[in-house]
Amino acid sequence: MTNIVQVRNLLKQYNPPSGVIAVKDISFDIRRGEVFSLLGPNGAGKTSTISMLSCLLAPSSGDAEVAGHSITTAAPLVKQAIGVVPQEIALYQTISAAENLIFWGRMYGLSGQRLQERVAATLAIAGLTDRAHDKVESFSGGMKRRLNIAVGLLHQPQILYLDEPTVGIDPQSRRRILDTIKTLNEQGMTVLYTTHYMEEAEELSDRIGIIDHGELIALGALAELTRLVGESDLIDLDVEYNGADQQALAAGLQAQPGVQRVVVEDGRLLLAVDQADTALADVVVAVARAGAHVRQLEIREPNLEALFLHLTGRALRD
Amino acid sequence: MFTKTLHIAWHYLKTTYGNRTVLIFALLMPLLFTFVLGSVIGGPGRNGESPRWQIALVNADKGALGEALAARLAAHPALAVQTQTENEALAAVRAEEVTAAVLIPADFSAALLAGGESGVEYVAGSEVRSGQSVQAAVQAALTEVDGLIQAAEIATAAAAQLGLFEAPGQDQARYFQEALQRGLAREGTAPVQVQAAAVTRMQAADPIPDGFAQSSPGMLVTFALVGILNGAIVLILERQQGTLRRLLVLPLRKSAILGGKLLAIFVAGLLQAGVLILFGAFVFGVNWGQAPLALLLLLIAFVFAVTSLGMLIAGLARTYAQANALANILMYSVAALGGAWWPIEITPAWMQRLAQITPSYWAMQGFHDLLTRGLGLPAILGEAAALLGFGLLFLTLGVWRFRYE
Ligand SMILES: Nc1ncnc2c1ncn2[C@@H]1O[C@H](COP(=O)(O)OP(=O)(O)O)[C@@H](O)[C@H]1O
Ligand SMILES: [Mg+2]
Repeated sequence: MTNIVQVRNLLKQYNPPSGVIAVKDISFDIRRGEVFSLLGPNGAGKTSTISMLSCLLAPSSGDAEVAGHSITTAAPLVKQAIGVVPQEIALYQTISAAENLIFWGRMYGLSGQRLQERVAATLAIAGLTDRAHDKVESFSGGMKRRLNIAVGLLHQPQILYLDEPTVGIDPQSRRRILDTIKTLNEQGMTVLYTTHYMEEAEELSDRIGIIDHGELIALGALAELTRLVGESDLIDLDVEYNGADQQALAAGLQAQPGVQRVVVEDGRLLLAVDQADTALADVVVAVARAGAHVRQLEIREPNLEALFLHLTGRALRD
Repeated sequence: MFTKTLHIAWHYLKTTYGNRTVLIFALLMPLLFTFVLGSVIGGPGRNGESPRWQIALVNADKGALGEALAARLAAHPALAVQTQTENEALAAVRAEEVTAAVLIPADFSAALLAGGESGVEYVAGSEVRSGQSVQAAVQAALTEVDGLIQAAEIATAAAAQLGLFEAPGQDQARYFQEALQRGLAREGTAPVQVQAAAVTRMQAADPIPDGFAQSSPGMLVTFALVGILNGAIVLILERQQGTLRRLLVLPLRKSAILGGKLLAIFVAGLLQAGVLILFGAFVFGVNWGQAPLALLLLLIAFVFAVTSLGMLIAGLARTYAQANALANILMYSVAALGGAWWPIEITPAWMQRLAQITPSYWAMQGFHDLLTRGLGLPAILGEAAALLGFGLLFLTLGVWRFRYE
C-alpha cells in the first residue's frame, strides 16, 4: 500500500444546518514516506481537516482511511497509528519534561523499559535531554514547541500530523523544528504538515495541497504547482501614497500591458506580470504619475504566493 | 483501559498536590479554622466527655417552684450545682471558682404564678465561652418551669370550660395546684426524657451542637467543598490549555478521562477529610462519635455528592473564569446555608427548609447524629441516601452537559 491516507469527499459543517462549512468536500491522498503540506491562510480549514483525520471531529459527510482504517468506524486503530502535534502547546506546565513524556507515554499504552527508552529517545529528538527534569513552565517558547512535538512521537506512529508547529516562535527555533522534521522524514516518517507560511511548505514538502475557504484549490509537487502559474513574475511594491487614491492607482496599474493581476494588501501592491523586467519601468512611471512614489520594490520568481494570488485573487500572508 | 484511568487519576493528584502550597492549604487551613471556631463557639465536646460547669445556686424562694428550678439545674448533665448563700456565691464568681451564680429571689413562686417576671438573677464570671452555655442551660430550666405553670393553667381553663367546677373560685384554685404538683412531680425524670427525645430532628429539646462538635464537621464540610470544587474546575483549565483535546486524540475512552479525574478528586476529598478527622480526634480531642463505619459511609456519600457538584460546574461553565466564579459562590453559600458555619438550629425556619437543597445540610445533619446525638448507622442512612441522590443527579447532569472542546 503506497497511500497511508486516503481522503474521500470529506466535508465539515459546524452547527448545521446554517453554520460555517469549514471543509468543503475535499479529497486527496498522502503517500507513505512523504511530507505532505496543507498550505492556506488562517481560517482556511486546516485544523478542521487535521481534527477529522485525528478522529477528534466527526465529518459531516465523506470518509478517510488512515493506515488502512476508517476514521468514522475504526477510530481506536487510527488513533494508535497517528501521532498528533496540536496547534497549541498541550503540556502540563507544572511538571517536568520527562514527567510529561511519561504521562503521555502511558496514555499511549507504553510502560516499563519501553516507556523509558521512548522517553529518552524523544527527549533526544527534541534536544531537551539536559533539561529533562526542569519544569515545562521554565522553558522558552521554542523548547515547549519541541516538547509538544516529542509527545506526538512517543509511540512511534506511522504518520505524524503537525498543525502549524512554528507559529509564534523565533527564527532560530523555527529553523530547528524544520530541521527536526526533515530528519524524521529522512528516517522514514510520513508527515502531514499544515502551515500558512509559503516558505515552509516549499522547503519541507514533497507535495502541497493549497486550501482556501475549505476548498482544496491546487495540489501537487512544488514544481508542478509553480508551472500552473504560467510565465508570471511577482512584483511587490511598497508605496508611499502622498494622498493618492490607492484603489485608483491599482486600477490604473491593472490597465498596463503585461500586468495580469493587481492586489492591494495593507499598504502594499502585489502585481502578477508576464515578465518583470519589461513591465517594471511602466509600473514605476504609472505610480509616479498618480502622485505617489515607490518606497521599496521586490521582484520574485514564480512561487506559491504567485499561485495563490493567481487562483484566489488574494495574497497569502499572516 | 482501567490502568489508564488510574494513571490519569494519579497524574491529577501529582500535578495538583505536588504543589506544597495547595497541600498546606488543603490541610492546615481547615485545622486552623476548626481550632479557632471550636474555641470561640465553646461548649462541651473536648475529649468526648461533657465538662461539668460549676455554678453557685442561691434559692431564697419560699414556694415550690424555686425547688423545682433548683432540681432541674441539679439534674442537668453539664452543670455541677452548689447551693450557697448569696455572699458566698458572689465571692465564688469573683474568684472564678464557679462559672456563674444563679439567684432565685424570695418571691419567685409567687411572681411566676401571678404571671410576672421570674426575677432570677444570673451573675456570670469573665469566661465568655462556657458562660453562654451555662446561661442557655439556666434559661432552658426556667422556661421549663414556666411551661409547667402554663400547662397547669391551660388544663384548669379547659376544665372550667367543660363546667367541671361546682364552686368555681375554690375548686378551680385547687385543681390548678394539683395540676402544677403533678407537673412538678415529673421534674426529676424530665432531663432523661429530653435525652431520649433527641432521636428525632429539630425538636425544641434537641441538643444544639456547639464547640468542636459544630466546628469540626463544619470545617470538614467547608474545606471539602473548597478543595473538591477547586479541583473539579481544573477540567475546564485542561480544556482551555489544550491538554484535554490532546487526551482525546489518544487511543483511550472519554470515560477514562473524566473517570480518572473524578476518581482522583473523590479520593483527594476523602483523604483530606480522613486527615482532618484523625487530626481532630487525636490532637483537638474531638469526639467523632461511636460509629466509625457510619462515619465512613456518611463521608463517602458526602464527598461523592460534592465531587458530582464539581462535575456539574465543569459541565455548565464555558470558561475557566466562569467556572472559578461559580465554584467560589457555591462553595461558600452551600457551606453556610447547610449549617457548616453555625448550628442550623439558630437560623430561621424558612432557611432551615431552604438548606435541605444543599448536600452540606444532609452531611451536617448526619455528623450531628453521630457526634452530638451519639447515634449509629441506622440514624444516618437517610442522610447518606439523600447525599447519594444529589451525587447521582449532579453527576448525570454534569457529564451530560460537559463539552470536551
Ligand atoms: N468549533 C468551531 N465551531 C464553529 N466554527 C468553527 C469551529 N472551528 C473552526 N471554525 C470555523 O471553521 C473555519 C475553519 O477553521 P480552521 O479549521 O480552524 O482553519 P485554519 O486551521 O486553517 O485556520 C473558520 O471559519 C473557523 O471560524
Ligand atoms: Mg488552525
